[in-house]
Amino acid sequence: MKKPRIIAFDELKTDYKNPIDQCNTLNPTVEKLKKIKRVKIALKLVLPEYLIHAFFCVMFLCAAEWLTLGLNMPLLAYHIWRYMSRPVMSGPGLYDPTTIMNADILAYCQKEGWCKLAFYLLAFFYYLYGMIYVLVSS
Amino acid sequence: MSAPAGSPHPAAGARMPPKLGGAASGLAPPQQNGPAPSQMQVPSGYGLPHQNYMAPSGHYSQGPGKMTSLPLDNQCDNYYSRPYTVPTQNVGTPSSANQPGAQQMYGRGPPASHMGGSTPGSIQGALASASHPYTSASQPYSSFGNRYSSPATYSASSSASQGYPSTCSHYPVSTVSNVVYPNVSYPSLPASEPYGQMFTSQSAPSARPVNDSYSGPSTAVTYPSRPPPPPSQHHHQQQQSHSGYSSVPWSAPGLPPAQDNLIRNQMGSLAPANNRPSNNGVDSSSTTSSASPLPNSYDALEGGSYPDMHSSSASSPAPDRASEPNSTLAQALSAAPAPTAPHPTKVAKPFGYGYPTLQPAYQNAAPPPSSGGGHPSGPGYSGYPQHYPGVNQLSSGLGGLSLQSSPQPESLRPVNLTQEKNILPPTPIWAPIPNLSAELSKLNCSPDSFRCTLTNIPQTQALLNKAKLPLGLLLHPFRDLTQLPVITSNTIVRCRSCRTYINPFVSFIDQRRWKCNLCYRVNDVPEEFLYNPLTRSYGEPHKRPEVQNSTVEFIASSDYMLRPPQPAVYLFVLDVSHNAVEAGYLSVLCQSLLDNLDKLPGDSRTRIGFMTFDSTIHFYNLQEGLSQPQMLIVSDIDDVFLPTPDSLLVNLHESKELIKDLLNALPNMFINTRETHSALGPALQAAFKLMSPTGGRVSVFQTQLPSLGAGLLQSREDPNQRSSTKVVHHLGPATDFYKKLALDCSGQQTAVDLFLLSSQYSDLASLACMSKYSAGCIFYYPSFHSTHNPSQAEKLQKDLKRYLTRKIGFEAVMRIRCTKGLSMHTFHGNFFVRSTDLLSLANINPDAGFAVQLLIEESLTDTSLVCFQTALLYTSSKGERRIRVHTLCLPVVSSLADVYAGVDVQAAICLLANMAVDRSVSSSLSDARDALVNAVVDPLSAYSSVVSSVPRSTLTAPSSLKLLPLYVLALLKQKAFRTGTSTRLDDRVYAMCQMKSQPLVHLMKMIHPNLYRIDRLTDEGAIHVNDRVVPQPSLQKLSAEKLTREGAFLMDCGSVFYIWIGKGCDNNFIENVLGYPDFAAVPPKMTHLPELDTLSSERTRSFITWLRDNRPLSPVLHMVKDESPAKTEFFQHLIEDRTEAAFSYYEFLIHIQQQICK
Repeated sequence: MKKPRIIAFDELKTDYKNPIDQCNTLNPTVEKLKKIKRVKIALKLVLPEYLIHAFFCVMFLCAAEWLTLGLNMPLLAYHIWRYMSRPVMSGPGLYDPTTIMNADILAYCQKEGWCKLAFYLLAFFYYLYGMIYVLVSS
Repeated sequence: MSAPAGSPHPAAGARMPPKLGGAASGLAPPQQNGPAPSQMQVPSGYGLPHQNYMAPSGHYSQGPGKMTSLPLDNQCDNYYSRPYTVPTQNVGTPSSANQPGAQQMYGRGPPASHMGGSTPGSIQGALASASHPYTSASQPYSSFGNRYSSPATYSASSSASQGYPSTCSHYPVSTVSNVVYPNVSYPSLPASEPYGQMFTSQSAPSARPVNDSYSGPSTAVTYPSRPPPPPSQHHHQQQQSHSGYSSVPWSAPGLPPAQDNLIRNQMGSLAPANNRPSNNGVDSSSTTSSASPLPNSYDALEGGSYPDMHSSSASSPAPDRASEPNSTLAQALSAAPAPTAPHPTKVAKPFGYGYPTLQPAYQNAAPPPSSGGGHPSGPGYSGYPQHYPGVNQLSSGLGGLSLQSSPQPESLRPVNLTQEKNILPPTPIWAPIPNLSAELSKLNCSPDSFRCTLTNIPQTQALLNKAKLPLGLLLHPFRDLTQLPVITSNTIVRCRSCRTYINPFVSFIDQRRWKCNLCYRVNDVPEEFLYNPLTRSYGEPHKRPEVQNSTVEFIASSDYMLRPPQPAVYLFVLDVSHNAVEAGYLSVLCQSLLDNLDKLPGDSRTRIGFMTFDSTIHFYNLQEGLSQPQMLIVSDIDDVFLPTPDSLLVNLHESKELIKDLLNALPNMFINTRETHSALGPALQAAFKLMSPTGGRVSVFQTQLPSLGAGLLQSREDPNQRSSTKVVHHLGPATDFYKKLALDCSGQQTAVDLFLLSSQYSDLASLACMSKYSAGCIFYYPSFHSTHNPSQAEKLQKDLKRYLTRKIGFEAVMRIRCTKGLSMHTFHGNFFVRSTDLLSLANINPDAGFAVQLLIEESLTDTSLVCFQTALLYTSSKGERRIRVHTLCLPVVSSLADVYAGVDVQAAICLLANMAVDRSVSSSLSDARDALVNAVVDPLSAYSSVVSSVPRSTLTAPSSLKLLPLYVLALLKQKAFRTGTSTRLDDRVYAMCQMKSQPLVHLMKMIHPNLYRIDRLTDEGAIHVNDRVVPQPSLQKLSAEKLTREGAFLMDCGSVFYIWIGKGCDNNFIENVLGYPDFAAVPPKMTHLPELDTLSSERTRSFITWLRDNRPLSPVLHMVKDESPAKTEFFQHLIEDRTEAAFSYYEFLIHIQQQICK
């Protein structure tokens, strides 16, 4: 019964990630503004994303879904590493407003966003398949 | 042709003006067209400054016992004789009151009658002094001596040379600057530093044939008045298309006019100019206030001279500053396209502004037509590579002038590094000149303000990657300029899509349309722009000053403001803990302030305030009308509040007497303090609260590690690790408190400048954040003590003098634009990056430099030129909104060889230094060092494998890159990056901060000091500056082998001079210059040269003075005797020598060679 909830969350997550990624530099003047806004949104969304993902992992652990858990472990580890190596700051958060405009970091964050989007999408379909399979077989 | 009046300007508001504060933080939708009502939106909080203070002041008024104002002294007239001993003791024992928020202090209550008696007098004094400085407030600029040329000199020289005195009288300044300006900011005069030399040549008109050679197109063939050009073989080319003026700016004494052989084919553009017959006579220039190339003093604009200009322009229909209605203006203009009557001379002499052929724009638009003009040998852009050598001034200066015949450009001449003994040229190195047409390079931005690491931009990123060279810009945007055209017009012409300001490199398609050189959009020329105030003619938009000068300043309209321009506000936050009092910096600071109080840049609204702190925070109420300064103490450092919000920052002129009283009293006030703690964080929070309604500048003086309250820091340095060759930790901040504070300050347009005067570790890495992100600056005086370390005290004093009086711009933003296809990658400097190309600078000062890394995103195949434009929008200290625009134009090349030929090695080194600092903070120091070594290895190996035909076994570099290994070695031996030598962490971090924020000229001196031998100065090759003969000794390489015991050497490290005296130094020198009988008698700590009346003393002093005059911070002189302990300080700058931990230059070359061969 956990699966439907998971789906809902996953959809949320994929929605979340979308705006961060679509940074096309076709028209720099307008796009730049949008990009900044997206970065700001991203700042607020990072922690929920990490928490939700960690929560899923715990759920998978409880449900003894070892394979799924194993698939998610690398990402969890990455999240932990990422948060540990964040810039020095007192509050929670991941991105430093003074360096986020650095093209390297921005590009890295974009790439990261795309990769995670792909992963979440695949995971979503895998969970869906898993749910249907469970429904049908039961 | 379409209605130009209304549409272009409102969009201006959408891009440039700073969206101040959180309220308007860039989220407003971009308004492209139409009226933009939100432009004048006042950020919340600004309009209601007192709102914030309701709570604190309520708090304050509630408890009469909580906060007691403390009269500083009893008698106004008795400050010196009765220092603050009594109150001070009270400060030391603060605990008697139990109140949480504040504490009760009782000074010795002054007798009331006494107070009453003294009050009127002091008020009167204050009033008197307030009115006095008000009138003299405009003086500072002109009194700076070098920095701002005195207008008088100019007017004298030019009116003399022009023989045109009568009409000049109305506006002497602008008249001159018209003629002179184009030359002035170009630094490529031969023997170095621009300012001093310019000066002479300007004040002595005969020294430089400016006016003559400017005399217009008639010189196209004959070219009479140039100084005898050394390389006469260039002439055969010049005669063909020749533009006499093309070489003029560079033709000052002795410089080979190297670029002459770059012929530009410009029949087309010559033609119209030739139609103007009368250009060849005496030049006359006139301006209106609408576009007046004024010298860089605001006085001329705002002070008394303004009405004059007004009246003069009134006689001719010129758009002046006061004229509003565009349409009527245009009518007037079209009705009288040529100015008539009252000044017949002006009409008769139609103004040879000196660029008759110019119209770079036309060429830019269509390079081919020029070749169609029937020029036999006029090479277009395509022809350049063959004629390359002439372009590179550096190389032509070095490599002989007969290169014309050689097939290979000088800058590509392979140099065998390991065999070349004297790699360092004997003369200072100049920036290479971009390979542009003569006209374009004459219009191009001065390399002092704007430099690119590659003067030939590679066409694609792939080509750049192949070359393995860093691509980036080095900016010094707010540099002190002697001449700067200031333009006041109703509409500032900008591209409608990318908002680029119109500049010399745009192309005019016809009279009414121009094509943006950055985004290639075709824009309309507004009606007003068709009128040229310089020539007073109509229909020549390409002759407007905006199109004639690549560095201009616009007076911005209210479209560029989010709020009314702020006044100049200065707040000083001073550490008065025991440590600080011990060091004794207060007396130096207060004396400097007293001396320079009248010279602080500002207008009648200037405000100033003081705070001191130890474990508590002390405010000073200086409200006009008080008989003496009141000290207010807040001890609640966990929740800082302002005791009286509106009387802590006071008008400088109204409260001048009180301020002086306070400054006189401050050094002695805390003399018996026992308080060792320092609550820097809370003090900064209070300062932020105090400044946030207006913005301005906070100067923080700190002498130790902050130990109380928010932002407290622990010592992180392990002294045993200082000389470790392994990892250097703690280069990054320990807490983000200071960074957050800086960002808050930046949002409120407040910059924090840090003066760290500490003898112990103070964690500069953390403290520096407060300045880094708020666009402040950092000064560091290790082991400062006012009496034990007099040289540091002297340095502080000199730095303060410059710091207090230099120009300042408030609430600034800087945007950098570049041609489509290029993009900004990373910015270096002190600022906050608000968007991908917008830097938010709460303050801008003339000593701030910036660097930008660039990427080539799209291939640049369809363009032959790229342009970069920086626009710095700021509020001057006089409350004017101004925009300073610099535009740099560079050619695009497609071959790797051309990319190498155009390397500007100094700019590349400065950019590498910036990148290495970033790398060492984000990754590690050893990473950064490896990256630096790779920065030499990669381009050299790429060069030898791709371009050169020399066998790989030898280490060869193109001539343009031959200094790269030397400079990188110098970088590796800098305090910032060295390992293995004992380096204090703060010293290291400070060196890094300097690398990030210094402009190129200063940074290069720091990286690679200049060494001169000074015991045998002769007049050979000397230059004349202001009637003084300045000898020009040749540069020595930085190696101990050059230091003979018989000699004396001067090392110029930018901020410090060392004079090394050899043991066997000639006694004549010691006697005649140093004033001592022999070597043994010279005292070990000598910081001044005596003024002796001997020839050699005169020469030495004039040389040192000349070196000093060329830089803003006057360097301190250190005498280093051979075999004295101080010599290690000197020897660490000899970077070509081997140390225990680092390579010598030769070893470094071998190391590189091994790396390449690997």
